[in-house]
Parts: sequence; structure tokens; C-alpha cells
Amino acid sequence: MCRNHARDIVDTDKLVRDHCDNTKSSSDVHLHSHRHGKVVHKHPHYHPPAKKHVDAGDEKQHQHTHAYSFEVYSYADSAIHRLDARTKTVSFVALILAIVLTPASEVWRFLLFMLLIGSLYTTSGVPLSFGIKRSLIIIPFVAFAGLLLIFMPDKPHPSMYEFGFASFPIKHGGIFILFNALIKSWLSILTVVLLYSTTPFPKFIKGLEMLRFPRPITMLFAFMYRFMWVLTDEIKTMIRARDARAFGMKRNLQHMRVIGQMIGSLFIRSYERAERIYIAMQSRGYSGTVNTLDTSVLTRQDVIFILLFFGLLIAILTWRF
Amino acid sequence: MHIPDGFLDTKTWVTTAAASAATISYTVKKVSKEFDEKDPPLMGVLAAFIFAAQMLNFPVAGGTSGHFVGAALAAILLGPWKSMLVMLSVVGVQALLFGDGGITSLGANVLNMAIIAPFIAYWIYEILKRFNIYVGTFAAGLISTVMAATACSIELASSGTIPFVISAPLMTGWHLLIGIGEGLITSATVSYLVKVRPDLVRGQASLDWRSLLVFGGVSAFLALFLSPLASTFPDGLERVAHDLGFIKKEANLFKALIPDYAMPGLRSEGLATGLAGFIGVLVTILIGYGIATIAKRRSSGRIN
Repeated sequence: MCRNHARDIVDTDKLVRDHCDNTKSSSDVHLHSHRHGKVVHKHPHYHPPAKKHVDAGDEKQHQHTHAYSFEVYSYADSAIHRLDARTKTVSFVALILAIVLTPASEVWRFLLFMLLIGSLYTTSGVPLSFGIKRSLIIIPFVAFAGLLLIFMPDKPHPSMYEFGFASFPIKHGGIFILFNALIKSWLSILTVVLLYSTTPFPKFIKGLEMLRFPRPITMLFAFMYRFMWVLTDEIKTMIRARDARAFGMKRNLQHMRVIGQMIGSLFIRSYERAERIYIAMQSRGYSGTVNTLDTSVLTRQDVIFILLFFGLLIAILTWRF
Repeated sequence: MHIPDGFLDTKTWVTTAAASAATISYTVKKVSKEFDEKDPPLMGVLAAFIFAAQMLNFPVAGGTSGHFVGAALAAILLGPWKSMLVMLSVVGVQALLFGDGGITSLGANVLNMAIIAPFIAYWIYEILKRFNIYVGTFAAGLISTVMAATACSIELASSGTIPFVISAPLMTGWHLLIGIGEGLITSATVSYLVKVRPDLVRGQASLDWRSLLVFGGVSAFLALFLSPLASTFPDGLERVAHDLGFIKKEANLFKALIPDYAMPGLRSEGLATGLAGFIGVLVTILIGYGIATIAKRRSSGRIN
């Protein structure tokens, strides 16, 4: 939840920005509308291949919205993209576990993890700059914790930082805790970005299902993924309509009521859409479970990757100078 | 409030993940039994709806803005069980698809935003709607947001990352402001729906005592297992409090309620702390039960 986006009372700036972004990334939005349901698909999991090279500008996003272009690399092709979703899920979750369980004092192990992640990025063709940009999502939380931790004493006579007019106690333990949290969260988020940038989400869900994840939950994930951008488009249209009509509206109780009505009307639209979806699915033979022809088998590459990856992980975790 | 990886220590993320997994698997079983084949698409689309509604910002103090969370709205419109699964898929997809919230801390995030928040919202709404439906929706939005934030700071404190006395006032205070917005918007949404599509707002459902029991079970589990683990912590915490010199009042207040969080006559400090926490949860549930019973009697004659 990032709530660090300060907004003016009359946000003309935002309107202009919205417009610019839309023109800039129109190809991407178009791609999306293709991918998410405005065109009839032959297959529920049909996805047109994504463009490999997208303007860096497309990655630009508002702080308070989720970008369309977060998965630009998911449909690219590389040795890592071709691996089975299960292989990647298990390996990368193991990597995150290894990172989280490593004591913060052993800094060199984190350097090795960094090297491993960097080489994975290179192999997959996902630019590290993309990973770093996407990893900024943890900043609000890190800033909150960091501010508290830096200025928190734990000694009877804490050392002080002087800033001319004010002095703040510095807690060495606090800085250590912050370093621990920061390095672990950052390396973990880089791994998560790599996972979703090399695995299309439907395949990832299929992988989870094959890993015996409860079926109702994976089905919910799939439905949510299928419709979240459709409904996001709808709420964005409503936001634009509100901003156009309520130009200069005071942000007061009245404003809250307007937001409530927008949500209410989105709820009705979603509910009715769900009913239409259900009828459409039923007429195509749906009876409580979703079946796809999408089968995947573990290949020799998967086995080699898993052996290599876990070998490296164990080496990093156990190696001593 | 989405906790990233690395901010929770092993005991905390394992405990919260276990608690979440247990609650969610119980929920899946319970909901699957009642599953209409219509339900998966409906709940999936409503999860997408909550996700889209979270795009709406509202101003909080000081030029910053918060966004709508939707746990209370989901609980009011869908009931506790389905709303838990809907919020689970929102939190899960945010973690897996955006990296918003970590993988190891997923259990804690699910506990805060997909279990505690909808449960508390539902419970409060069910109790208060007997007086006034809008008081109920407002309180549900407000208190569920605050409780989720408090749970978040408890988890951070039990990890030894940020002491509770420092993070709780900030987190709770900040989310009190956000919660007011959440409550107002939830009320406005429900009042709009009552006007436009009253059939979609659930009818006069009675209190679901089994859901209350599960909620109590989860809280008791956390109190029993988390607080003994954190029992070494208060010593360091008290010293920090004295060093800073501004938390004496709070420390005294806590001591007045249950002296040092420990029961007299018990040797093991960990066990005593756990029991104290458990009794606290029990008392809270009993008070809630009392209020509900009184509310039921008082309003039994005039339910519309």
C-alpha cells in the first residue's frame, strides 16, 4: 500500500500526465486489451506473444497505480523462460528462503547471492535495471522502518548525531537490523521480479496447481488475473469521468461519497459481469472445474537446472573461508 | 502495510504462515462444501473488483493519500468466509505478480489483511448493524484497518525489528486516519448499494458463531505461541522506553492491566505470558459476546 503520493486539490497535472502516458504506451495498452478479453479468444489461455523491446518510458508508472507494463518480459524467450513453471517456482522460492535464513553478519554470502541473481538476470535477458526499478515497490515500508530504526537508541548512553540545531540518538543495533532487513528484502524482491518476468502468470498458476496447491485458490487467482485489468480499465474510465466533471472539487466528505458511489457502481458492474461470465462458461461446458489442454512436462533441462541451482545454493549456504 | 521479506524473523513468519495456512485451509474446506459452481467465477471477479477499487485514492492528513483497502466491504457484502478467500487472492496476487509484500512474509500479510481485517469487520458490522447499518459499516471499515495495522506492528515487534511501543502508536495512529476514510467510503458504498441494488447487500443474517470461534481460536493460538517467544523482548523494550523517557505512561498503563504480562504463581515466565495473552483474548471475546447478547435482546422486537 503506497500512500506516499501527495495530490493537489485540483490535480490538473495528473490529467495531463495520464494523457501523456496513455499516448506513450498506447501500444502496450492495446496489447493488453488484446490479452484481456476485448477480443474473442479461441482458447482461455491464449496469449499473443509480447513485444520483446518496449520503450523504457512504458515502465514509467504512477506511484499509486499498478502499471500495465510490469510483465513486459514475461512472454520473452530465453533458456530460463523455457523452463517449466514448477522448476522456477521451487528454485526461486528456495533462493528467497536461503536469503532470508542467512545471518546478516555474513555479508559475503549476500554478495554471492547477488552474483547468482545477476547471472540469472543475464541468462534470462531481463535487464537488471528493470528489476531494480520494479524493486522500488518496497520503498514505502523500508522508509517507514528505516526512519524508526536509525533514530532508536539501545544503549544507556547512546551516541548522538548532531544536525546543528537538533541532535538524534543513533542506535548501532538499529542500523544493523535495518541492514539485515534491507539486503534481504531487496534481494528477495529482485528474485520475485525475475520469477514473474520469466513466467507468464497463467503458466505460473498451472504450475502451482501441479504442485498440489489447493484447486479453489488457484482458480480464484486465475479468475482474478483474467479480469483485474478489465475492471481496472473500468475504474480508470470512472476516475477520468469524475476528474473531468468535478474539476476543482473540494476533497471533503462529499468526495468520499462520490468515491463510495464509484465503488458501488463498479461492484454492480463486476457482479453482473460475473453472472454473464458464468452463463457464458456454462454454455461452453463448465461444471465447476476449469480444464485446459495446457500440459507441461519436466524436461532434461529442468532437471539439470534444478541440480545446478540447488548445488549452488547449498554451496553458498555452507561454504566457509 | 505489505511487509516485505526480511523484516520478519524466522519464528514470526513461520508462526504466522502456519496460522494463515490453517485458517485458509479450513475456509477452503468450509466454502468448498457450500460452493455453488457459480461461486469461483463470482469470487474471482470480485477479487479483481477489490483490486481495481484499490486504485481509488483519498487524501489523508498532510498532503499524503491513502487508498481504499476493501476488506470491510468484502466482509459486509460476501460474509466472512468468502471475503477471506477474496482478500487472500488479492494479497496473494499482489505478492506474486507485483512483489508487493514478500514471499516468506506472505503468511503474515495474509493474516493481517485477509483474515484479521475481514473477520473483525464482519463481526463489528454484525453487532452494530442492529443499531444502525451505517454506524456498523463505518466502524467495520475503521476498526478493521486499525486492527490490521496493529497486527502488523505486533509481528514486527515479535521479530525484534521495531519495538511495539515505537511502531504501534505510529502505525495505529496513521491507520486511524486512513481507517476513517475507509469507513466513510465503505458506508457510502453500502448506502449506494442499498438504494440501487438492495438484493446484493446481504440480508438479515444472524451472527455466525462458528466464525467467531475460529477467529477466537486463531487469536488464542497467536497469543499462546507468539507472546512466549517474544517474552524476552519486554526487558529490552522497557529499557528503551526509559531511555527515551516518553513512554513511561504507557508502560504504567500496561502494568496496571496485567502486571508485567505475567500471571502470579507461575514459574515459567514464557508460559505465564502466554496464559496472560490467552486470558486477554478470552476476556475480549466474552465482552463481545455480552455486547452481542444485549444488542440482540434490545433489538429483537424491531428488526426490519
